[in-house]
Amino acid sequence: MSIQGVSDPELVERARRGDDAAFGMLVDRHRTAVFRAILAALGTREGADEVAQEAFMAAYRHLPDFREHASFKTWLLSIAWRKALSHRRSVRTFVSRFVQPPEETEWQIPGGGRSQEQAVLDTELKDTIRRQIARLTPKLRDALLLSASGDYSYDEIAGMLTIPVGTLKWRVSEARRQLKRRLADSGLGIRDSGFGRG
Amino acid sequence: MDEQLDTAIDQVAREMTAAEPPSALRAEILARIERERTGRSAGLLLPRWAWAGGVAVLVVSVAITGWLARTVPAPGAGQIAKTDTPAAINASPAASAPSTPAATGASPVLDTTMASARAVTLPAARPRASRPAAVPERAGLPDDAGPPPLAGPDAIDIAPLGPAAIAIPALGVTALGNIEPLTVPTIGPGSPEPQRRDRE
Repeated sequence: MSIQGVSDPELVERARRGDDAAFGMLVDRHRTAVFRAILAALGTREGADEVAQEAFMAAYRHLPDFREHASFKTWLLSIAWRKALSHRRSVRTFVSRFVQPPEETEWQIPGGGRSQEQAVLDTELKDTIRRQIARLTPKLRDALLLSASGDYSYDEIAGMLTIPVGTLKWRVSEARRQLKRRLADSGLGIRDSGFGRG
Repeated sequence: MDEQLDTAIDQVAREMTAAEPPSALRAEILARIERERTGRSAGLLLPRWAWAGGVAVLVVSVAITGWLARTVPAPGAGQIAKTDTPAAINASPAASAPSTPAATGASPVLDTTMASARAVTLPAARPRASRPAAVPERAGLPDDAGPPPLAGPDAIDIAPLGPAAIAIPALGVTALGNIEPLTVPTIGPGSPEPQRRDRE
């Protein structure tokens, strides 16, 4: 029997009974969301693969603890988020960040396909925004990146961060406010760069 | 302007997390699950700390066994230590520290004391219970002789264990003539140590 159209709860039930293919299907369904959440927490691909594996393995080991009334995706994302935070706080990560400041090495964004002058302006603005996002406090940065990724609903993000939805919305709004103020202070204007046009 | 800035922030934030997971993620996870299952079926259900504890106990047991085997002579290969006896010490009262036979003029003796570093291995076994508890004396051994060519346990003369080896006549006895009388303070009925002076 094919498991392509099977719901998450049914796949979970099969995986509990030892069906590895069912768990593999769950991995395929949610690996992008898990990976991007980890990337939002770590800010770099380095270690993200390992943390993603750890998250899925932890979910597999704790499948008996999963309650069907909750969303499997939310449950899995909360596990992945905890793993990512644990990795972010680890001594090894701290040391590597100390050696290489994150804003200089992480979240490199590829250039667009516009004209050379426009690309330079866009790149300059993007780099500025990226640096300012990296300088936000972790709470504001996490909320902003997760909400802007488009992969999660507010409920899922609130479940990951274990905060109320209202708090999450405030953090996203506050992150935007601080970013706009810092961008205005840096003198980079949207009109000059032509960002978002064409 | 504000909307454009919001759009720019959204776009940059999205790009910061817009990465695809490795395509081999599923295969790697399923392989790890299979490895875990294989480990369990091989009897590795105990947690790591239990294994570490077991290994630690094993190492300590081996270390203690090795130490005992080195310090306690085995019944099949008895070791007798060579040291000075109380008799030898008494023969030269001026020497307070353990002295060599050459310095004291006393003949070296055999002892079963474990404290001596100079050990002489006997060729044959000697039952542990039959070893003398006191200091046996054996005359006639040369000073720097190596391991004596003892034929067997009978070569050890246990007989001189008696009081003759102590050499009591060498001790001088001084008459106790001028001893100051002890002044015993009055001890009250509530004194915690009424017999203290007596013990001294």
